[in-house]
Amino acid sequence: MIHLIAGATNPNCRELLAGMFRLRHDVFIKEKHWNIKSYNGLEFDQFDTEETLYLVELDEAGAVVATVRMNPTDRPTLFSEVFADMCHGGPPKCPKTWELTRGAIAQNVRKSLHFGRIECATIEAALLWGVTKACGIFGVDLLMKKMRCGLDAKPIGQPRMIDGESHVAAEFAMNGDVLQRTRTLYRITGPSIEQIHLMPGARRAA
Amino acid sequence: MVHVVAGATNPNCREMLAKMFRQRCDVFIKEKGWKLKSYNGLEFDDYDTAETIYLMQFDARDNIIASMRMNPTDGPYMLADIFSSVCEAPIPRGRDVWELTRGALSRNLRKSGTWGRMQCAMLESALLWGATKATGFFTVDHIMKQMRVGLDVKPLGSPLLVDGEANVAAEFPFNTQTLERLRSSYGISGPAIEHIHLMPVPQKKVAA
Amino acid sequence: MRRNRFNKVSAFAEICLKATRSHDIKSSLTVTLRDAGVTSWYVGPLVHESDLPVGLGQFGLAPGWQEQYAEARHCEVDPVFLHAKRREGPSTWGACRERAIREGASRRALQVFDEAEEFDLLDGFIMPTLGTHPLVDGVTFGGLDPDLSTDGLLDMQMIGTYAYEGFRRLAEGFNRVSPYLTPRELEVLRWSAEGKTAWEIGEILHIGVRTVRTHQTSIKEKYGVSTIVQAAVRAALDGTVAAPF
Repeated sequence: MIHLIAGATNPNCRELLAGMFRLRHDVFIKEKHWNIKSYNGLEFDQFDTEETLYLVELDEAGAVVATVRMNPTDRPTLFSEVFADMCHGGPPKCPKTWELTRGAIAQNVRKSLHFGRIECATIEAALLWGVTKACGIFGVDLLMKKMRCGLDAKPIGQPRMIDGESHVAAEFAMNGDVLQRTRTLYRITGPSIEQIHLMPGARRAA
Repeated sequence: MVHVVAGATNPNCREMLAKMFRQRCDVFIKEKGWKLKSYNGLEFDDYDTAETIYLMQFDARDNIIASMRMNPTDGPYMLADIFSSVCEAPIPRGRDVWELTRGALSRNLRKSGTWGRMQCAMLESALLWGATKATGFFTVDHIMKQMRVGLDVKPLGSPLLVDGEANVAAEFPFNTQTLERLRSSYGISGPAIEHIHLMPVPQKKVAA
Repeated sequence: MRRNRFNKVSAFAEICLKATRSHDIKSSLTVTLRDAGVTSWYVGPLVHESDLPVGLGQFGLAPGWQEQYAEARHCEVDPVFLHAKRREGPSTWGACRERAIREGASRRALQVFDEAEEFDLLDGFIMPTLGTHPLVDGVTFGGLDPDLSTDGLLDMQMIGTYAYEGFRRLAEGFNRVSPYLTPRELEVLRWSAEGKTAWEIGEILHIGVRTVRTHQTSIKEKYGVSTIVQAAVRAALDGTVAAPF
C-alpha cells in the first residue's frame, strides 16, 4: 500500500511520517553510515518542509518499507544548497521539476518488487502534480537501472565518489509514456499509489 | 473525499459500491425517470463489470454525493452496443479509450464544487491508468459545460433528440494539459483523488 | 445526406477548437450557416452593443441591421433575447413571437420582428449559452427561410455551442500562445497598431504620455520584443487585436 503524503508536518499523517523518518534513519545512518543528523532515531533535515511530497509504502503489517522524498526545485533543495557544484550550469530551478532524494527501501524487502512500485508511484505523483521532470544525485549503478527501465536519464554533471560509491547528478523526463514503459518492465498494471493525503485545507477551492 | 474503485465486484469496496448503485437508482430512475432496470433499489447493468472503474465522492458523513462510471472500450460498451447508430465517425475503441456513463450528482449539490472535483478526478484516473481519450453520449448542454472548463470535445455524430433534449456522441482527449485547464477552471490545486482501490490480485503462484 | 450533415458540423467544431483568430470562426460560421438558409448571426452577451466587454459579442448580421438594432436599443425588449434570458433551451423566433403575443408584449417588442423582416429575416433560431457572469449570453441565427426542421435545429444547437465556446476561448486567450494583456494595455496596443504616437494615445485615452509609455514597455516585455510595432504584429497574428489584413 503506497501512500502519497504532502507536507512533512501533515497533521493527518504523523504516524506514517514518523515511520518514514525512522526508516531513513535505519537505512542512511545505521546501515550506510551517512554523515547526517538524526533526532531520537528519526532522520530529517531542512528539506523536509510543508512543500515536500513523500511516497511511503507500507507492508501488510503496517511497517514502512520504502520511501522517496520529492521537492519542487523552485525552492531551496539539496542540489541548490549542498551539491550545487555537482551540476554543470547550476542546479535546475523550476516548479515543474522535482528533486528526488532520500530514496530508501527497507533491507528485508530490497530484493522484491518494491523498487518498481515506488518508481511507478513517483511518476504517477508527477502526473498528478503536473510535474514533467525529475532530477537528483544518483548512484551510477542506480542510474543504469533507471536507463534499463526506459527512463531517459541524462547526466547533468561529473560523477563524484560519495561514501565510496560513484554518484552523478542526473535528470529524466516523467510522463505517461515513461510510466507505461516502467510498468511494462516491472509487470505492473494499474496505479501503484493507493492513498493521497494533501495538507488539510489544500483541497479547498482557491 | 474522492475514491476510485476498480471493479464492480471489488470485494474490498462492497459497501461503497452498494451506496453508488443506490444513488444511481435514485438519480436516474426515480428523479430523471430513465427506463432502466433496478434490483432492490440498486441500479446496475451489463456494463458494470470487473473491468469498470468508478469514481465516487463522499461527504464528511460518508454519504455518497457524486459518482461516475468509466469503461475501457476494448470490451463491450454502450456506444458500440446500443448507440452505434448515433456515431458517424468511426466508433472509438481501445484499452486507452474510456467510455463515460452514469455521471450522477446528488440534487442538492448541483451548484457546488463537487462536480469539478469529479471531473479532475476523472482526468487524474485516466493519467494513472494510461487512458488517452474519453467517449460517450452526452447532452449538447453538457458538452458546452465541458468545453467551458477546457475539454476539447469533438462530436462523433449528428445530435439526436432524447427525452426532449439534444444528445450527441462525442470524444475528448485526456492529457496533462487538460487536467491543468480543468484545475484552473475549478480553482482546484493538487489531486482530487484521495483513495484508489484496485481489484485485489489473486495470490500469485510462485514460479518454479 | 446524413453523412454530409455530420461532416459539416464536425468540421466546424474542429475549426472552433483550433482557431487562433476569431476571423477563422467567423468565416467558417458564415459559410456553414449559409447552407442552412441563415443570413444573419449573433453570438455573445445579450446586451446593447456599447455594453459588450472586450472581445465578446461577434456579429455576422445583414448589412444595416446591426446599426438599426443598436440604434433602437432593441436588445432591451426583443422577445427573442428575452427567451434566452429565461434560460429555457433552444427555440425559434416564431415561437418567441407567438409567446410574446400570448403574453401581451408591448407594441415596441413586436416591432422588432417587423423591422427584422425588412432585412429578409423572417424566422430564426435562439439558444441561451453559459454566460460570462454577470451577463446572459446567447446565440441567434436568422434568415429568409432557415432550416428549422428538427434536425436543422439540432445542428444549429451544436453549431451555436461550438461558435460560442470558440469565440469565448479566444476572448479569454485560451488557444493563444501570447501573454495576457490588461484591458488598458489592450487599448494602448490597439491604438499603437493604428499607428498612433504615445502622445496621441494619451490624448485619446485621457492618460498621461508617461503612462502610455509604461503600458507599451509592459506590452513589449510580455511579448518579448523590442518595439511596439513588433508587439502589434504579434498581437494581430495571434488574434489579440483585429488584424488589419
